[in-house]
Amino acid sequence: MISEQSYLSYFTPRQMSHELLEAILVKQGDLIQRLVDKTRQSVMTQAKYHTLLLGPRGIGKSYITALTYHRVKALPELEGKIAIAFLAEEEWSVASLTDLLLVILKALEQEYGDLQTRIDALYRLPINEIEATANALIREYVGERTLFILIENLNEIFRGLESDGQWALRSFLSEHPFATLLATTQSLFAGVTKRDSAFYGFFQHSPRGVSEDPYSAGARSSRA
Amino acid sequence: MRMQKANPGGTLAPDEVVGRDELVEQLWRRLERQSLYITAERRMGKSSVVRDKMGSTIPAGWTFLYLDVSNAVTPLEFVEVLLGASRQSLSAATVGKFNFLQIASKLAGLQITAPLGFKLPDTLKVQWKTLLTELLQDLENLGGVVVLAFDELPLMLDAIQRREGAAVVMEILDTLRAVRQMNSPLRMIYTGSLGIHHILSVLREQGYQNEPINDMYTVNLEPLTEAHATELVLRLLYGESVSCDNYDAIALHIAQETDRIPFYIQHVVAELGVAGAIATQERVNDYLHESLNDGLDRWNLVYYDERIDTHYLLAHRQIARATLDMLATQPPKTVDEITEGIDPARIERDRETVLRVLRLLGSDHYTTVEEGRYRFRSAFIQRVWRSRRGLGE
Ligand SMILES: Nc1ncnc2c1ncn2[C@@H]1O[C@H](COP(=O)(O)OP(=O)(O)OP(=O)(O)O)[C@@H](O)[C@H]1O
Ligand SMILES: [Mg+2]
Repeated sequence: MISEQSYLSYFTPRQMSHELLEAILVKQGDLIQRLVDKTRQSVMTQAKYHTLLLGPRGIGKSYITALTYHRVKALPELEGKIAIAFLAEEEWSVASLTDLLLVILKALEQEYGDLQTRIDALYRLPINEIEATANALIREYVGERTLFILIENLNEIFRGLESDGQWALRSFLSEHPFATLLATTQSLFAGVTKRDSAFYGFFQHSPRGVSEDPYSAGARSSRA
Repeated sequence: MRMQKANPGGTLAPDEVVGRDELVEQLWRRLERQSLYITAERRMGKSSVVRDKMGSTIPAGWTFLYLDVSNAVTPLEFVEVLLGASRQSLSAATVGKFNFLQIASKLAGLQITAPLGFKLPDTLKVQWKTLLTELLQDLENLGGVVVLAFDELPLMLDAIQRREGAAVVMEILDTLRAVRQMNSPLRMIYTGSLGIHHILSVLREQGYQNEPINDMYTVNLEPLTEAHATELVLRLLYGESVSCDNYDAIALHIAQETDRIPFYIQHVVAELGVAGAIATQERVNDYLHESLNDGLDRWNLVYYDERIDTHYLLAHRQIARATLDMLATQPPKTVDEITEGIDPARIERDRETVLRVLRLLGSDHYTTVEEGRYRFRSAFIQRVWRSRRGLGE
């Protein structure tokens, strides 16, 4: 567990520098190394990993996400092989796959700064053509690379997507697997747990010790 | 021994999909003559087999298109997904020659060329059947055997049924069935996370009499063999750098305790990898016990129970639960024993309804029948059922 949790929660880790994040790294090193490793595997091989970090607000999920982002970005071997879309923390506006694809494009533009004109062009299309075109644009832009999507508060996004949107997202991710996901959530939610839900059993959860559930963490340490 | 990292739920590289080579060879041979319906419990590995294994071993001269159709919710979108997959897998020149484009252009009154990310105009909505038939015809004419693998087809049909009614779904199934007639080089694979029997039973209630999959060979995707399950555990133990005193013994133990279901094997070894301690049989048992009783239910096990509310008629739910409760704690039983075992003072039941429910439970992979006696198909799922239903583990 992160001991400075109350301290950390006052900051937006995403806005901290790489150095500062490294400096306040306490005990999450193992987990972050695993996440970096999985991302590397997803880029270097055909396998694609999807992880969900589960825990209440203020526990350090954003911190872990931000540091993973920096570490992955700093890996020289992944250069030219990865496209990173780090979604803004509060994307409450997502109500369909179309919205989510636009948010992903926005994040890619933020990261690489060469997509704005093409994004603007999307908004001029008839509504019902945006999804297919945005989908094709993402695939074309990513090309042979692997898309690394970081999403905070996936529960909010899933709420907006509803069942059909979630299935559409799963289809987008798994028809031609080209993306790896690192997501955070404050609670497990229907989209991930219901057997009929698209993402049933889709994610590997953050490991028990850091899954921020006081009960299971306690049970584990008393056993050890 | 090849090493691989634990990846429960993600996409595997084709050579990380363990123990399916022989099956895939059989499937290719079967496809020479016949189409396939592949069914299994959720997360058993259907997509891994079809998309990853078959997708990487396509016989020379064959065409194989893999489509995840779960994002299509209208028949026209289904046509679009099929067109999109054709564009992805075939050359632009090949698709450019499709008759489909001419027909679609004529019907729409504008030039249609199908670039990537293409959307058919809404005006073509009512013409979906003509368009689907044309497109299938073009694919049939590619030469060689052409396999269309529709992942999540039942789910798409369910979505269309809810939006546009059962009649449209009947037409889609019949259209697909019709092009698979004798001598066609076109083969199809239907599969997905929702069993097609749930769709067919809705259609039957609406008077549907056709047999839309009776020409297909049904494949029940089973867990791995013990040897393959053990191999998977070993690969993962090495890949996750888990140390143990006796690798073979631990591998066999995990394989047996998970009933050789690869998804749960992946989960158990992932946990061992994170824990970092030496893996022993006791530790494995502890993990399983904890996961089966996890307050957060990270393995989502409660949904073996909840699914019954989603898909079973009100009148069937109590019988289904009572039956599974009984089979979870007692030896295999006959229909009569099961019927007798349900307390009529609590649950209205008769032999016919119990039989119908047993058929559903079988199609949903809970139970199997041997010499007239029903039991859980998997001891692991049986154990899950007991723990989730408070019947002791
Ligand atoms: N043969 C295998 N070898 C190793 N791991 C496997 C194998 N089959 C399945 N798995 C594991 O199970 C997970 C689920 O597999 P897959 O997505 O193929 O299942 P599915 O049956 O298509 O699921 P759904 O019903 O949700 O569509 C994979 O992420 C992987 O961890
Ligand atoms: Mg699948």
